[in-house]
Formats: sequence, structure tokens, C-alpha cells
Amino acid sequence: MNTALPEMLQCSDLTVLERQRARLKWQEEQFQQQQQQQSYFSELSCAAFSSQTNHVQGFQGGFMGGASGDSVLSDMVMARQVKPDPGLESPWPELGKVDMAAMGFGPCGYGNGPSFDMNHAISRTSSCPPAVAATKAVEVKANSEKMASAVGKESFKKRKVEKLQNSKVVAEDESKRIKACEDEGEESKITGPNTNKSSNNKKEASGDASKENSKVSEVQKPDFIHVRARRGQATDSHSLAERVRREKISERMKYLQDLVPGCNKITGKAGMLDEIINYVQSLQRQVEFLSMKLATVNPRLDFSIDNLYAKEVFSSCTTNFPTLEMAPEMANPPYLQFNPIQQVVPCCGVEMGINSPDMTLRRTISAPVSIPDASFLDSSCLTMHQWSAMQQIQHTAIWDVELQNLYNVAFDQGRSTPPFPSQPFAGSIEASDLKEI
Amino acid sequence: MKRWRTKREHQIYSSKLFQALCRSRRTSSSTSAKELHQTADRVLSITAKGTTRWSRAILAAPLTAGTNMKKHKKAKVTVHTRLRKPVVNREKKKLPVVERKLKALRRLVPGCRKLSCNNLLEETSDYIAALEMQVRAMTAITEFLARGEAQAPTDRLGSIGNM
Repeated sequence: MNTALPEMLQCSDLTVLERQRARLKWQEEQFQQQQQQQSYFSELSCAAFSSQTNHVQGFQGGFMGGASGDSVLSDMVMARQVKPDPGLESPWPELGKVDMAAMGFGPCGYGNGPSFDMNHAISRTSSCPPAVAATKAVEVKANSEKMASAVGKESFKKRKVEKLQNSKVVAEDESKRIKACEDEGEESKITGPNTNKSSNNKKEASGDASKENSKVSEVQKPDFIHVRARRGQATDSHSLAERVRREKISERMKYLQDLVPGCNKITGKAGMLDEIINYVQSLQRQVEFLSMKLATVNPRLDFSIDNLYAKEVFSSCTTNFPTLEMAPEMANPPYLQFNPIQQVVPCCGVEMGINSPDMTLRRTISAPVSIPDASFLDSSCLTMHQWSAMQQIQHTAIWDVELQNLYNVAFDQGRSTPPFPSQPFAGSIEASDLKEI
Repeated sequence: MKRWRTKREHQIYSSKLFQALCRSRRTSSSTSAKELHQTADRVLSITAKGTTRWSRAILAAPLTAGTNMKKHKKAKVTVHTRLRKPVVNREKKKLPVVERKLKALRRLVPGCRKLSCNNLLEETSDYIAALEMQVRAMTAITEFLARGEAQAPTDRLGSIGNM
């Protein structure tokens, strides 16, 4: 008879409620065997226990009350009563305090969501009976003073017992419980203590998890990752940690699979790594080849810049500029400013001197470029130093113009746009100037 | 890793590379491919803003390290190898396949010689994305300059006629 209930408890076929009921009945039998008083049953919820034995009876009475009355609430109260014991570990005279605390717990426990309480209560009650059974055995023989320590230890025992013996059962229970309350049984959460105590903390987290299922980011101790064991999987800390590590690696490999072209059919780490290595080598070779090419193509950058940018203006395949509105009037005064300056600058001046529609357009386009330049220098008194500085700035501005084209060559090949987008072009130049220099 | 795909990053890299090229062009007239390669890599690392290991390794490497050969330990061939009894090394198990490949990958990605598999894969993905961007930018620049070069002689003389 005494062993029937623990076996039943460990049987996973029972539902939680059935188990609870069975437990309660067992408690009742145990109680009756001890021939304790039964008057405390009804007074449980607001009980003031005067004797030590009554306290233990209170446990059982609580279970009894749970069976008869509102099971959840009474169990919750009982759970609360169990909970403060390890915390307080007070001598028996302070029993009243414990009960008050339990009373306090009761009302505040009502405030929580029902599922949370259910979980919590269940977690407590499921672990109580073995401990209570132990204390029962102790009680018969031991002194009343021993009870305090026993009760105090009972909660610890409960955890140890869970950890050592029933880890698998508990994991199954938990996963089942979680499934009953929620949908998912497998999540990896970042909440509390580390995976070494995971089986211990799973119990506490089972209540927390139901609340914080969506709040993955809620971190109490940010360095640790809390992992849940999946159903049917090993639950010791080593295999958990290994599983986390393996999952991380496979996640990274999947990402790499997207990155490296032509890896969709390849499965397995070795093949993937081969592909990755080949791809990295080919990219590096490409870069080397391009640098060689650049070295040969690159005789005189300063010289070719203006020509290049002029060409780029008219190339139709380049443009996808962000459009900023530029008033046409703005083009003219800088144009007027620009003209005398342009004559000083030799390389620009060669083009500027020539009268042609393209040149005009080029000038108007380059004019807005000089706006930031003009703001730097006073155009009325240009010294040689300032001229060279202007030149530099114009050069860089021009480079940016070219580079705008470059980018668009690279990105938007094949897009055809209107040939002379002067205003948006100018606007984008200015934007790039302000941004990048 | 996502950042290497954005246009903005491409622009930043291209402009910086261009400026660096001009600067190096002005300071030294030599245009060795190796130097260019190094410059390009350094600019790429700068664009990475120091968030990845490989970028920091590239920047930390000395500028003239190309000529220094690495200290590869050559196998010392002694005369008496044949006279010795053949050591039974053929049964020596090679490292697991995956490990060998990881080793090879570590050699390829700069600054990742002692990384764990996990971090190595992360660095590799970032490195691959950055390399792709580098290739795109450098092709664009070469194409650009080549086109400019080709058109330069005609432009100087007969721009009116062409346009």
C-alpha cells in the first residue's frame, strides 16, 4: 500500500488530476492509520497551528481540503505553505508566522494567472508526497524538534530527489505539463541559472516559462542560457550543452549554405566545408586578379578623372540616384561663381572653355558641386593656397560624382533611365558630399 | 553579414578605396599588384569597423609583411632514414575529416587560427560576404577606369564631335 502511490505517481499514464486525487486518497489513508485528529481539515485555509504534529497534519489536511473543496486554491495555499519552509526554517514557536506568510501568499497567489498557479501548485504538490511520506516515517519515531529540521529539509530533499532519481520522470512530467498548458514543448530560453542546475531549475522555470514563453529576451543573469530538454531526449547537463552547441553549429552552417552558391544539394558538414573552402579560395584569387588588373589599368588617376566623370554623366545605364529637389535657380549663381574659378583650374578649364551643349550641361551639373566648396572659402579673395585647396575639394567632389556612377554601374546594370537627370543628380551629389567627406 | 550587401556599404568602400588608390598613386609611382591588394584589403577591414576578427587581423598585420616568408618547418631529411627501421606510421589515424577541413579554413581566413568551430563559421560567413563586396567594388572600379582610359584620348581632342 505504501509503495503503491509512488509507483502510481511515476506512471506517466495518469493525468495530473488523477494523480493528485490518488495522492490525496493515499494521504487520507496514511492519516487514518496514524489516528490523528481530523478537526483541522476545515480550518486549513486560515489555520493557526499550535502543535508540531498539527502542522504536518495540516499538510495532509490541505490535500484533503484540496480533494473535497476547491482543489486549486487549497493546493495553492498548501504550496505556499510548503514554500516558505526552506526559506524560513523557523523553530516551531514561529509557526504562526509561517501560517501568516502562507496566508499572505494565498491572496497574492490569486493575483497570478491560473495556469501559473496550476503549474506552481502542481509542481509543489507532485513533489510533496514523497517528502511527506518521509516525514511521516520520521515523525512517528522522532522528537518534535526534529520535525522542524525535517520539514525544513523536506523541500531540499524534494529537489534532490527530483534531481537524482526522477529526472527523467520529472522531465517527462514537465514536458507533458507544459504541453498541457502551452503548445510548445521545446524551447531554448534565456532566463536564469545555468544548465548544470537545469533539472532543478526546470521546476522553477516551468512556472516561469509559461509566463515568459514569449519573453525570450528577459534575462535575469545574462551570462547563462536556459535550455529545455525536449521530450524523449536525455536530460543531463552535458548532453544538453552538447545539443545547444550542435544546434548553433548547424545554424551557422545553414547560413553559410545560403551564402555560398550551389550548396543546396550538399548535405553534411564535410561536403559543405569543402565548398566553403573552395569558394573562399576562389574569392581570394579573384581579388588578387582584380588588384593586378587595377595596377595595370591605373596609370594616371588624376588626369583621367574629369574625362571619366564627364562620360559618366551621360551614360544611361548608371543612374538610380536618390532624388532630391534642387531649384534651377540655385544652379545659376554657383555657375557664375564657378566660372572664374574654373578658369584657374587647368584640367577643368580645358573642358569648361569649350562651348557645347554638353559642356554647358556639365557645368550646370558641376556647379552644385561647388556649393559646399564655396561655403568653405571666400571666393572674393582667392589665394594660390585656396585655389589648390579648392581644386582638391573639387576633385574629391568630382570623385564622389564618379563614384556615384560607379556604384550604380555595379548595382543597377541594365536599368535604363533618362539621360540627363541633372537636378536629381546634383541633389545626390550634394548629399553624398555631406555624407561621405 | 547583412551589411555587406547594402548599397551604402558598397559606396563607402568604393569611395574609400578610390581615395586610397589616388593617395598611394600620388605618394609612390609604383603600382605593384601586391601593394594594391594590401591597400584594398586594409580599406575593406576599415569598412568593417573592427567588429570582426579577420578585419582586426588584417589591420594589425605589418605593412611590409608580404616578403617575409612564414616559418614553415621543413621536414628535415637526414641521410639515415632509409637505414632506420621503417616506423609504422601508416596506421596513424589522421585527424577526423571535418577537423582537417576546419584546419584548412583556419588557414584561409585571416586571424582565425585558433578559433573554435562555432566562431570560425561565423567569421567565415562575414568574411565571404565582405570578399564578395570587395570583388564587386573592384570590378566596378577597374571597369570604370578602363572605360575612362579608353575614351580619354578621343575625349581630349574631339569631344564636341563625339557628343
